[in-house]
Amino acid sequence: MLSKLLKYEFKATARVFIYMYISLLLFSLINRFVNPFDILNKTTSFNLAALLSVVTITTYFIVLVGVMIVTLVMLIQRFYKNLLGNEGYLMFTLPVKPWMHIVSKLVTAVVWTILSMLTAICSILIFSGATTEVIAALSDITDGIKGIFGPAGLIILPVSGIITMSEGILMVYAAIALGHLFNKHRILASFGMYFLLSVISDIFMMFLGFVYFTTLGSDFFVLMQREEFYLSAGQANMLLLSLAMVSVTFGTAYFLLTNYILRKRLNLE
Amino acid sequence: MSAILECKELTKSFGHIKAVDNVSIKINRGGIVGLLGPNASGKTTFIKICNDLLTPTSGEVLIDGKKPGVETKKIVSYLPEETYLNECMRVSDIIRYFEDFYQDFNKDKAYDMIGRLKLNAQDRLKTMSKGTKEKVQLILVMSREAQLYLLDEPIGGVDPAARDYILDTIITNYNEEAAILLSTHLISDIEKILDQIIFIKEGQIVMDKLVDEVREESNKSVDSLFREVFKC
Repeated sequence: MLSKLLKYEFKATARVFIYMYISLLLFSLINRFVNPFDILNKTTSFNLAALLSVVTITTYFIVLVGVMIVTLVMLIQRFYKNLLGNEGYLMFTLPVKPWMHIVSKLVTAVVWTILSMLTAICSILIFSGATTEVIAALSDITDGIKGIFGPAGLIILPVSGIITMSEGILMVYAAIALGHLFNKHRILASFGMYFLLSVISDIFMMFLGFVYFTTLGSDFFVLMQREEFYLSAGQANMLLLSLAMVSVTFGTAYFLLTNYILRKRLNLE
Repeated sequence: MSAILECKELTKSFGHIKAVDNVSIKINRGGIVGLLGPNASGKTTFIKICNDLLTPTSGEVLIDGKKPGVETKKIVSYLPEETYLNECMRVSDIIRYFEDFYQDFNKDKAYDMIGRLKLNAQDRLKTMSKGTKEKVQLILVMSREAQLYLLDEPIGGVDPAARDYILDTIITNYNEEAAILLSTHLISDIEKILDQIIFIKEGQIVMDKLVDEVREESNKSVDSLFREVFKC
């Protein structure tokens, strides 16, 4: 049943994303051929080519920002509208457990977020013409990662990134679910709950940090006080993994809270 | 006949308001039951509890002996008051969707009814009027070979001509083993198909009788009895 939910969730969202990705890549291609930055550099007075350049650049950035915004809006809307709006009457009378709805929404949201990021990177590569400088900058980044985390970092860093991203999405879901407990102004309440959850998790992180640096990680400060601050790849990875574990804990808590509300406190309008 | 739906001392409160108040009823297989009451009498709340869309404050509902959950959702076909379909979908998409999720969905029956009501399966929901959407939804719900149909105001939004066809559809599309519970305040239209009536007022059951009993005892139609019981 989970696979069926996933299939329909991707189907319901694919159209919007695919159109967006195509238009983003198209605009970066147009920019590649028009080469507007070059035109602007060479222009000394106002002319049609300069105006056109400004237009193509602006459009490209609007579409780029648009992709990011739509990704976020879709993530919120698929949960809010499809589960807690009128469509919820169908979703919650399908013979599936409520947790499957959360998982199917989460997986879809994570996949689209990653694809949006990859498409954005691709479009920047196309726009810039993938010059040697751009390639060099990219390899500088991967070298930097390897320098801090060792070769394993190229896997550990994206994985912990996905974990943190999932935690963030689950926090949004938990906030919407909490907002659903209100009888009126549910959207406003959801924003309020998001703020509240952020504050709570920040306080908790500060507390954890305090405990960590006064006990296990007390030598961390000693290290930091040295002239040349240096973490071994092992230590850096441990730090990253500890943060990922914290994310997993928070994410699980948000998931359980959301699931409880959907199971026991559902009250569709 | 065994009970397909049974509830015991069911109560649902919202704050200090009791939407459903200590309701105990039993619905046997093979009957069409009218859940009748004025607006805001607790009809929808009751049906939502049976569908696991609300958790009762106290008491319990058993459907085929089980509490509402995945197992009962497989055998209950529910028509809510709201239009619950994604507006971007075509009718044919939604039929495939139902077929995928409900094992008891009969696709041929659905297409047959679509044809008879002269609807186009390739149309998207957003191009349809409210009444047409309600017809589509009712077709989907009645195309399932379910054991219990819970229909919340099934004829509220459609014209009288379609109303007759829909009532006809309801009667002919369920078998002896199934039961139908439908809520409405349009009593005169549905009176002729009912076997049992349950009157609900301010969350409480005020009458639970077979229609034959009503006619024998008082020699009144359900409609006039309703007007008498709920006189303002």
